[in-house]
Amino acid sequence: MSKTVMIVDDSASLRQVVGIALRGAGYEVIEACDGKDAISKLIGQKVHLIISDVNMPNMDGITFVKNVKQMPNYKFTPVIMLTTESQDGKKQEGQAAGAKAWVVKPFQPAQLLAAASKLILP
Amino acid sequence: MQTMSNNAWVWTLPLIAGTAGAVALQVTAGVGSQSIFLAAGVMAVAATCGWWGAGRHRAALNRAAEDARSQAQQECREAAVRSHVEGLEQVCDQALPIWVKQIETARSQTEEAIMALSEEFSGIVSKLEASVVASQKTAGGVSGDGEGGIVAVLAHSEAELKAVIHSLAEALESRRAMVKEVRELTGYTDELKKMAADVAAIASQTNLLALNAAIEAARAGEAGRGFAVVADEVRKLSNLSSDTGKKMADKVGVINSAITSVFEAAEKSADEDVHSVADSDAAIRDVLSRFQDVTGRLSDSADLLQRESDGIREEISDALVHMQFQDRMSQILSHVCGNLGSLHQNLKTNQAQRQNGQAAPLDVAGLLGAMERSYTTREQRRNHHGVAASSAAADAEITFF
Repeated sequence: MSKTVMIVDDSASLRQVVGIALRGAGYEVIEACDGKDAISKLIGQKVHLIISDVNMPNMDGITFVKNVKQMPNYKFTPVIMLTTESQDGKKQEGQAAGAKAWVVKPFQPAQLLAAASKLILP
Repeated sequence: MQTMSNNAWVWTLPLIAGTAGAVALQVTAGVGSQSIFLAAGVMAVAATCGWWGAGRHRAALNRAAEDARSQAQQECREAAVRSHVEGLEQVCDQALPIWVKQIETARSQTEEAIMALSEEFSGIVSKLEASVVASQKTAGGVSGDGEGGIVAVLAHSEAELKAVIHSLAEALESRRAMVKEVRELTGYTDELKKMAADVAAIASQTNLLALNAAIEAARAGEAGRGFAVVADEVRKLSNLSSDTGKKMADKVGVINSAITSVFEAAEKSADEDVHSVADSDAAIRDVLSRFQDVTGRLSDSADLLQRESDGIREEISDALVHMQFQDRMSQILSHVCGNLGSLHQNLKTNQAQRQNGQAAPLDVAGLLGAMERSYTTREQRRNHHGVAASSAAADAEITFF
């Protein structure tokens, strides 16, 4: 059974680019445009990996990850932050919130897929 | 004119005072050489005072004129600067929102174009995948082990056709066994011929014996009459035996020739069958070989299509990396828009404060600091500090926690 990955990013084009890379590797993909949208879409779904941007309207990526870690079904779901932000301070915030990896855009699809398969729980 | 008359007064007043002094001296001291000399001295002092006073006055006037001129110039400059600043503020007030809109339009147009482009790429990938799947299904997989594919159909057909050839060969073999048995029958007919000849020889000897018995019966006279009847019957029986032997020989001849003709026909048919089976085998092998050739080429094309598809997928993957520039660009432009908006707001606040008579210098450091805090990309920070921006691709990195 194929694994499901959620992409959270306010840029529709980036969601599409990540979606193409993931669907090409056989993943099911769910898209959300910000943290709030993502939280509402996670309810009642089985998602195996979350890839989230950091700077987004309504609910930013760091707050979103903190909220996800409070959800019983997603407590152990791995989260990858995918962002243009490369400052160490922000990375530490991401790590403290519970993210498992920090990928700086532009990403190499092979690199992102390798990170995804490494982090998705069996 | 005023300056000139003032200046004349400065001259004339000491001169009048001097003259008055000289006259007073003449009156009080009386006209004499000494008093004239003193009066002349007083006049000279008065003239010098007048000259010195006029000089000072002229200098003061010049200074005042110079001050007035420079003040006028200063005022003029300030008015020019004020009008320049006001003009600049007006330009900013009107231009900043326009710039923001222009940048936003460029950003959204690029986003739309990139969306369309990536959708097309996505479509190409899907169509390519569908073609590869269809082609592999037809060819039975690149390795040729797929079910329902042309390779599998070929293998199945080959097995069935070989089974047909095998049954034909088996049928031919059983006919050969039959022909062999028919050939063996001809050996029995020879034996039957010999047996018929033996029957004929026995009949002939029996006939001779019957003849001798009849002679001996005749010689015995009346006593041999009964024996003569027996001898005659034996002779008749030997004749019948002889006829039967002949008939048997005839029938055996007929049977023999029938068996020979059947054997010849069967042998001829068997030879034809051998050729026919060999021809069928060759034809089937030829068809299978051609079919295999076509299948091989089809399989090669499927293989090539798969490799090409993999190559295209890799190229699209590279293109996807490059398409992410739009996201970075969009973020940078959004920050530029935000910062232009905040500058606009600051200018308006500043203007309002100035109109209310409050001194309101722009908080340049605060504005620049807020700008820097809004940045997310490394190149924005580098640009802000005047360092050459690195290429975006060099930023690609991954950190596991």
